[in-house]
Amino acid sequence: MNNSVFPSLMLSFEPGRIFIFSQLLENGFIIKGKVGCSVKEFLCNRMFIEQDYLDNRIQTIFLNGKPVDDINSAIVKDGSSISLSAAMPGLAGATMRRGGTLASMRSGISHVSAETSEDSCEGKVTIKFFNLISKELGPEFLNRGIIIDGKTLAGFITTNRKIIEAGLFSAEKDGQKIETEKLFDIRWEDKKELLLKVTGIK
Amino acid sequence: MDKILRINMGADGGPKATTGSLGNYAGLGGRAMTSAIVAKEVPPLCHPLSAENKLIIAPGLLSGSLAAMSGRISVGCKSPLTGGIKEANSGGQGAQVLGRLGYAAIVLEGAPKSETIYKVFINKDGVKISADNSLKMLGNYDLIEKMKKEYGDKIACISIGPAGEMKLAAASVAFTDMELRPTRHAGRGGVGAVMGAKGVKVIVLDDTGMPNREPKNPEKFKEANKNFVQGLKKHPVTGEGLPAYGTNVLTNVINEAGGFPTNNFKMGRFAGASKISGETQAATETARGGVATHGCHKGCVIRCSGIYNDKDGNFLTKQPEYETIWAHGANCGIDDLDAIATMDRMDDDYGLDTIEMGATIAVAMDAGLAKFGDAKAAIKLLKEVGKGTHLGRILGNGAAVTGKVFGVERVPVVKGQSMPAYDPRAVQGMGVTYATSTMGADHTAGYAVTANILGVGGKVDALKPEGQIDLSRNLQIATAAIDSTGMCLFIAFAILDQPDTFQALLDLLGGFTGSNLTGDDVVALGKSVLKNEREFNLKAGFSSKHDRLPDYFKNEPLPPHNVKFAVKDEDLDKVFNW
Repeated sequence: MNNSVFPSLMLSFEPGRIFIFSQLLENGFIIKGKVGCSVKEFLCNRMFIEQDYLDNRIQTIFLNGKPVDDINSAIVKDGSSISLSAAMPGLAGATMRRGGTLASMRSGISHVSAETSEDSCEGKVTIKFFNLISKELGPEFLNRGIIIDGKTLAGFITTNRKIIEAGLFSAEKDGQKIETEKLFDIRWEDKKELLLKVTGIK
Repeated sequence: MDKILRINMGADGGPKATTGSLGNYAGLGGRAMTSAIVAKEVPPLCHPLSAENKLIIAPGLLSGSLAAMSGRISVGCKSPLTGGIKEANSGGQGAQVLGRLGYAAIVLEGAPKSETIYKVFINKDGVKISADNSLKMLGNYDLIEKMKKEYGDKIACISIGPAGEMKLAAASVAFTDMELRPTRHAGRGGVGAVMGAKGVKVIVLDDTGMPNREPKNPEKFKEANKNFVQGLKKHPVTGEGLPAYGTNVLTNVINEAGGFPTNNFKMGRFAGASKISGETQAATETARGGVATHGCHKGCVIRCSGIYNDKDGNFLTKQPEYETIWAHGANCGIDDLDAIATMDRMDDDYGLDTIEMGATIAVAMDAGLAKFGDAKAAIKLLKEVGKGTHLGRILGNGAAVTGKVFGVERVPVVKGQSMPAYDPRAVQGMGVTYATSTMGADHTAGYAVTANILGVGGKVDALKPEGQIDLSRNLQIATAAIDSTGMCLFIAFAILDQPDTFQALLDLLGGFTGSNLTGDDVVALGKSVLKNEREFNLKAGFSSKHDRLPDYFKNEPLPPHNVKFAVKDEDLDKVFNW
């Protein structure tokens, strides 16, 4: 994944307040890379999520909004969206678990795998982290950098100005250090896509 | 808990309290107790607001003991909303305190002969009933402040707000929490209206000087309680997900699945979901100095509640539940967390079911009384209910009445009760439970452990469509049993996944009662509760034609997955064949 072509914003932030960025992770960020592979391969080999974590922690996976039961046969394509969640409460939450005993209760919306696989090619995939997955994987992905659209970032910064001001140590735009005050003056909504990197610093 | 308190509100010379033995109700608690008394003592064809109806308040079998999670309390009656039997349950301190005072149930009977309203005070020395018209039309918050001044802060209260006094079919019964705030509610089915019809504004409980209830086999009980707590804490739902985000953790997931009813069940996905999600809510609470992890009663180890402060850091309400966030949020097109929290506070104060009110406001929006997404207009409509205006009284009687008055076809109710936060077209198994539950559309009616653990009806093949019927049946049986123990339903997740935690629950019950409970005993208890409820409803005039979803769920595809409710009527009729 080559992110150097994007406008970028890099923030050094107080670790205890990084939770505020979970709003961006649940809203969705973009991963660019090879698609045409299974969900499992995408998560483990493109996103570098450990298989043990995938097997035991990520209990619910949606591909294009449909709960997936078999992550080996569900294929990720260009433009797909994948959402990841830990085990959820409630009967409806339990029905969404992959391969669970209650899966038949949502059979009308379950992901059905195509009979043929796709050829491998470059593509964009939207990723959403929910709940404990956001809490646990979020800091690592924020540190690596996530691609989001400028409009989303603009809304986030405006809504959360107070807590961002409280937690922000320093900011860099396109590799150049900027005054933290300026962060709130820039028209982020003009950027189609940008790379946001957030590093926790004590 | 070896006695039942009966208060005849229509007795000659004023309300009269009598305390009697359990008799044929021995061994029952929670929903098993309320439904047994309603089935045996309430004429099924009576008017729900008449003297013949009874309001039963019953803690669970383990309430008042040191058993973890045993703080649920059931409220039962013939429902003014559905016309059938009703059990609504709640958290808060009421169950534990009433259990320690030794009462297996309080039964309000008869009807007062005047408009006077009463308060009931119960402590170790007995019961005192006083007329107090100064309490008339007080909101629950002001009422509890008044009770604190009168009785001190070592009390727990069971009360109604103005909605209950106006006998509105969406009225709830409030229970105070650990901070003595009226934030926990037996919300569904209009139980508050029946309390209002009995003329009782508040029941004040003081268990000073009363010890915890002791188990018959202390060693077994202690060991089981330890294992049970460990099981809850190690499970990702009860040990991590619920404590971190509360029930609203579901918003993102159900929304992603396309099952999050939006704009009065027109769509399954809400564009503003991430603004009102559990993750955002928890972050907002933390940033404002509130609390994102908090129990609703002493002895709760899951702690799925929280404290929601306003923008200035002052207490506004408890952490709104997922169903409330949905009802006042997505279902009305509203993505403003503060507006939703404000409506949660108003519902608690007026004494209203948040699900019914959110669903009703959405129907009113479809009728043109407000626009979807207009939070100010929604708050204004809710204020009408609190004030008791003519419009408010229509809205306060729920979605079915509101739809009828304003000529709206799209009214998402079963047996007159509004559906909760899961579209039955996306989660069809949930639709089976909505349709066939004795309670009307109710997400908690089929909630608990699966057949594959309880072993009732054989193993369910989850991959076959008919599995939905079997699952719904077994879930309803198991849920009825759990509702009778006084255990919070959220223990279901740990039990679902961890057989040793299920065994710990059986041992907990066995250690307390001195018997050796098995899974079969739990199934038998659940079946007996449902049998009582089904028989009452049949005598009240219900038939299989009431076990149906509104037609539009079968005819209108739900975006984004464009699914319709496809379970056949003849299959729905098989749910109660056992």
